[in-house]
Amino acid sequence: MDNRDELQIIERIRQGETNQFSYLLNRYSNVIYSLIARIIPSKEDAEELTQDTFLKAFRKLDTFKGDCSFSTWLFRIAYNTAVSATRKSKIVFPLIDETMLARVADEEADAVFEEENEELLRKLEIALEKLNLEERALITLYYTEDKPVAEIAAIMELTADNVKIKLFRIRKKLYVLINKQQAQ
Amino acid sequence: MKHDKAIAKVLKRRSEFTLPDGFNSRMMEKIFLAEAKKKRQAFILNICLISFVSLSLIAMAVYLLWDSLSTLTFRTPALHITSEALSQYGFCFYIAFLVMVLFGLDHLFRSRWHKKRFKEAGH
Repeated sequence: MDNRDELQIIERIRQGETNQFSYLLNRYSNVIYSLIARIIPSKEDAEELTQDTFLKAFRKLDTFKGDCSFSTWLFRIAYNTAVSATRKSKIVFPLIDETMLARVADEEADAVFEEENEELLRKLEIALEKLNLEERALITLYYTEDKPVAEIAAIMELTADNVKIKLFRIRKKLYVLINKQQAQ
Repeated sequence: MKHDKAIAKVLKRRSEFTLPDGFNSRMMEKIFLAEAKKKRQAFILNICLISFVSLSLIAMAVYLLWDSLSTLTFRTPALHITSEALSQYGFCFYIAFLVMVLFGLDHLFRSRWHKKRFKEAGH
């Protein structure tokens, strides 16, 4: 199903063929759930938020203008739904000293993340748990969903430059968190 | 933008996130319910809108009718009869009465004259 077919299906849903929504569900339910589950700690909450995302998408389908792809629009709804849910539940993410991040050179982080030894991967897994919601969403979209920077910017309503800066900052943060584990 | 292998590998090897079986069918049921609710809300909204517009039109018609009637009443001149006007009215009534009396006398004398002529002609 290409973008044009998708737009035709959306148009048919708008005209009352609600059962056509199942095509969109079959195509996107797992990727949306995967994004939310990676940024929300509880799997049950992630499932509920996936439902909320699709219900919002259905209710707001008339507002989809087609100026971006349907997947970008849907990912944006999923991200915003997850953000509002975490605001309500008041999840606290650990903060990291900005001066420590400023001291890390890009080359240092590059060298570490090129390795693929088991020890590093284990530490990296622990470090990833300490990222906040926005950071988790950014790296999930960039590394797991392989979305281009411009699309991530559209989903998260940021500029492309801002996305790049944030991605660099996340790499440095992960590097600092790994080093902290080594020091302990 | 660099695509670090280690980060990508850790993220991809983390537990696979798949939705439980039957999620999509349950979701479709909710979508149908949402559609029914959407239609019901649209119906109620339409009814409210039509009622509001109808009531507004009725209210406007009543107001305009009321306003025009009250303006008509307002425009009717009130009669303020002064003593000077009253004497003029009295004089007019006196003349009118006199004219009526004269017409009456004229009619009486004419009829008597006609009767007299009729009697003279009969004989």
